[in-house]
Amino acid sequence: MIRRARLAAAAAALAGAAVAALPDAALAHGLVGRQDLPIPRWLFAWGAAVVLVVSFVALAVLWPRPRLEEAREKRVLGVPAALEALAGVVGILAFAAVVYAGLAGTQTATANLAPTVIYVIFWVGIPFASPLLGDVFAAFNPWRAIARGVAWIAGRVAPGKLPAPMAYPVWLGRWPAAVGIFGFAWVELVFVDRDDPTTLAILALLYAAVQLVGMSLYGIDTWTRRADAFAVYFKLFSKLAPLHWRDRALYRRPPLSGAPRLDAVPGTVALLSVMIGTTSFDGLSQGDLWTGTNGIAPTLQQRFLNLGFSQETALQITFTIGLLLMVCFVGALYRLGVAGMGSIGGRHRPGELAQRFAHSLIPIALAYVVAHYVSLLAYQGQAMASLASDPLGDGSNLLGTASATIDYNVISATGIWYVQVAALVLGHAAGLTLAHDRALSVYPRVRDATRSQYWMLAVMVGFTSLGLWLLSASAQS
Amino acid sequence: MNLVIAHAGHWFEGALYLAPVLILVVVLFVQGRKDDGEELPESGEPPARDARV
Repeated sequence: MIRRARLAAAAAALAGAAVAALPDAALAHGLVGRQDLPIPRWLFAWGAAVVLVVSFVALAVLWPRPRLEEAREKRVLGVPAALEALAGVVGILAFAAVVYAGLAGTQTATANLAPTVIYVIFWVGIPFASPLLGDVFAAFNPWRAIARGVAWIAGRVAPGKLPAPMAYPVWLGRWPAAVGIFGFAWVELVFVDRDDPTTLAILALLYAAVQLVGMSLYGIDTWTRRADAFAVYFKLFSKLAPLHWRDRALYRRPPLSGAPRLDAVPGTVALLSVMIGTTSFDGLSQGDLWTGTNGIAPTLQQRFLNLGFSQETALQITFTIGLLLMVCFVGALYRLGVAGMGSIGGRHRPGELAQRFAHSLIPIALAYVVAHYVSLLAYQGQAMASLASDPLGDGSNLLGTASATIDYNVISATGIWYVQVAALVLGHAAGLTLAHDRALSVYPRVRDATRSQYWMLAVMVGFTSLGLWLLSASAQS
Repeated sequence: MNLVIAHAGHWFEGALYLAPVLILVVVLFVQGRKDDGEELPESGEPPARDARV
């Protein structure tokens, strides 16, 4: 009895420590206020499942030919070369400002510009903007701009022709991007010093240095397209956009029609699984099931403490295991759907189908980002007004907005919940549409194409229910 | 075992979210079997047993 009481007390203490170790940024994207919902939360999952089944039937009846695969783009306007260079300079200056603020400013996370810019504006804001405006990050990508500037100068200064870049290994595909996004998610969700401005600035410099080395070895465009984790991550979201920037021109196209053009090189499915899995873990790690008293995290952490690890290390190991398992779970769920698809028609290997349908995961990844981070952007994003005026947290008031505060009434907790549900339903309906459109070109018979999508429908409903369950769990806690 | 019992409430609520997925999987499985049954007469191919003979 005493042993049990001791264990319970220890678990409660660990749960408290785990919660205390959560960063300000993570706390900020919890809900503010109480949700006032007319029906239980779990009923929304049932409603979402019905919407997806109806969407599936509608697609089977009303969408007999591939449309998105052959969609055309129309040129809207040209972009002057000077504007491209200017955007690059703005990107470099913004990067320099964030790094400088991180190194020279106050080390209080909420008073320093760096954590909010990195975790809110960069990590969340750009994925919100990309599906609407296209790949905006490509224009402002600071390390790409530096590399292009250096290449431009070297081309004029060097006496001979610059050496050609090495061939990028085909097998490497998007694996570096998958590792990079997992690494960032690890820093955001696991690393105990995740909010330390100096640490973030040093990590940003290290990341930029690795990109510059990669670009110098394999070429600027190849490296950016395949291995620059953030460039690849944001570009995937931009494939859903009705706008497409390329060759110094802006084109318009039907929404979602960029996704079927995704070249599913090795590592693409892994990257998308990382994108969905890490966001899912963010939701899971805020719920009672993970961090509550007798939750999974305190129990696991206790085991690592018993092995002799320090409290911090035990917590990090526990969260790393959770993060990895969630990514593997998402990948396995997708592979399960693909394995089912492979049983139809009998002519397609699951590995081939996994690559050909990978683009249908993009809107799901976006839905998870919107659902999990909309409150962070809505509330913590407002902090930019004061931080832009006082980036170092030293009391300066450069723009006259240093005293601006966060208005938590900008959207209610109930409003946030409806946005989250809508994002999940729309994202999965978009995923179904992309998968259906691709099935029509993979399977010669419409009947087989529809039957193959039974499995994807189950996967989509599974992802939707998972998303709503995670959001519900974090809202309740 | 303690862990499982301690999370009974979580598992129950989780089951409410999992239920539509399970129902859908069962319905789609049954529908798939029915589709397979309808497939044979349409294809006009002899059953595998006859083909071997």
